[in-house]
Amino acid sequence: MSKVESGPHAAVSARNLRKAYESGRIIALDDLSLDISEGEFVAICGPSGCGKSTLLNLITCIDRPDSGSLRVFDRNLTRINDLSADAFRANDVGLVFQLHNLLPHLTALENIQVPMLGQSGSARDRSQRAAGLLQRVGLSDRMNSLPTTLSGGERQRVAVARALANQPRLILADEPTGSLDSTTGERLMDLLMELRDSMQVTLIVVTHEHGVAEKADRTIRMLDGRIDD
Amino acid sequence: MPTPDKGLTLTRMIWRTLHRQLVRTSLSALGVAIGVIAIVALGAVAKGLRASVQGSIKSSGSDMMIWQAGVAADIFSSLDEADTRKKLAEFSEIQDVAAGMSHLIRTPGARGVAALQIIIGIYPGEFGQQAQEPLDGRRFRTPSEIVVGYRFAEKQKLHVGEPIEIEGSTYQIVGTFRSGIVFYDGAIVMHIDEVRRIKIADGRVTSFNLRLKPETDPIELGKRIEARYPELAAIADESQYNKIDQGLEASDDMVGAVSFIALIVGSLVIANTMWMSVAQRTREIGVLRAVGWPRRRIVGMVLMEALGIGVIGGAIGMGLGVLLAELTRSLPFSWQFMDPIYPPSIFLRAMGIALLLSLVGAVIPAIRASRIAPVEALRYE
Repeated sequence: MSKVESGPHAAVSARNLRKAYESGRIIALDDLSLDISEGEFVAICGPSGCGKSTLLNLITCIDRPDSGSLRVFDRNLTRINDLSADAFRANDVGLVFQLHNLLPHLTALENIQVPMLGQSGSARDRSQRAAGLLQRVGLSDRMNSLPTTLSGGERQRVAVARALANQPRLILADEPTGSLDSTTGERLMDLLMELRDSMQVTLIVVTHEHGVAEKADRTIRMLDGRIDD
Repeated sequence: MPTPDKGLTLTRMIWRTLHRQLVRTSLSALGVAIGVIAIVALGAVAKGLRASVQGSIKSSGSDMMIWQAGVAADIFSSLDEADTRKKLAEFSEIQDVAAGMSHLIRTPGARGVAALQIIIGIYPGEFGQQAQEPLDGRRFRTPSEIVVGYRFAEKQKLHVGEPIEIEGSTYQIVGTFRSGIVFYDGAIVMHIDEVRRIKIADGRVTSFNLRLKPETDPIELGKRIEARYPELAAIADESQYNKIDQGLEASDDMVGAVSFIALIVGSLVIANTMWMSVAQRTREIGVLRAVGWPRRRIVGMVLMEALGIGVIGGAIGMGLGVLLAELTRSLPFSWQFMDPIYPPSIFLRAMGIALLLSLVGAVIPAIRASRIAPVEALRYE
């Protein structure tokens, strides 16, 4: 299922990234450099305002750096245009949010198909692929359930399945366990790690929680827009 | 594992969105429907009027009509019968002439259906009588006999053989007829002398129907008649009816004006609905952007949602428009000359306007939606 070749190629390569807001008054990222290998599970930790979310926005092409260079899977994201950024998010990246952010009027099965719209394949194919993903996250019996009828953990599992919809090479999870109790959160992390192993995706998790960070291959701590060595 | 369904499509997603906001969707659709109702109802009535006028001109093999020129409305036309016949006799292309006299009277009886009633006077021996082919009974022969249109008979619950009192005189109903021309089918038809007596218009007629010899061009002949006798108006087609009555054009103008107002009001309703919808779904749209939906697909989604409302509103409006137009058949007085007809063009126009106003109204909200940043999906407050 994975599009990733095994080996220590760089999934993310950032050099001297700088990002400021409010005319330079707030520096979110300050000369930040990092490398993340393909298939690696990296946890990014740090206090609020340290630049975690800004880094995540840059890696997902939601935002652009002011200076420096950023490559994800050899694609230069530094000056990528909007259309290419959309395509990049659709095809190469899977996002898991702190809140599940499922569309409330669509069933679990349909929510997973949302990123697939506009991709090749028939609606029935998409539906079958989505059903397969639901099975992978252990919710094949809830495919026709609306988000309001799912528990918090189930919603996040659907969100994980949605992140995998287009077989991305990179999954970014922003505080994925932030709205879950510890047991459910731990199960979700186990699921993400299992999927990382089976699908050989690169996994970047932004988290405040030590328990989550401890599961990662590597933890990057940030402080004031820099990596805190 | 349960079997997955047919799969999500953009159309299905949009339908779910509209269904989810059922009250808002319904109210917006009704906002669109109001304009469509007016367009369909007025359009059908206007079409019916034109068809009736055309029917009158062409009834019984008539090729054209002669009226008094310069009148404010057809009912005010008054021609000297003998003088006009003499003038028309100068034109060798005219094969046959039938005089007609129209008048409005108080409705006979006390059944209260109509306040005013059209009566039409003709000569029993002229071809104009052929327009009243009997449905039941026979044609009238004497001034004390009348025939009535089937719609009049049904409204007044009158039958052949029954007497009827008109302006103080009693007449015998000897026949009912169905001409297919709404003016006639709702009218009382009697001897022209009786109408003149009631109207106090001795020697006058309202109009003439003319049959022309074969190969005669009625338009060209009409021009010659009018050139020689400017006091006469020759009408060979309903498009020329504005020479003696602006009612048809006024009804067309009214449909146009209502369409325009509907466009403005409906667009504002849609704009408000879609603006609110986009504002309330900022996070959702942010999620769509975050999972890779391009801006143009967001624009398409919002426009299609608006089109969905337009389709629903258009369908409701067409149904209610037909209902309203049909109601005119039972309104006092108007039933006599309103027989709405529904050519497909009316519905196409109505639906076209509904869709257009939906699109126009949704343009700005769609642009706004496309500008929502994916980062909105990451905000947690």
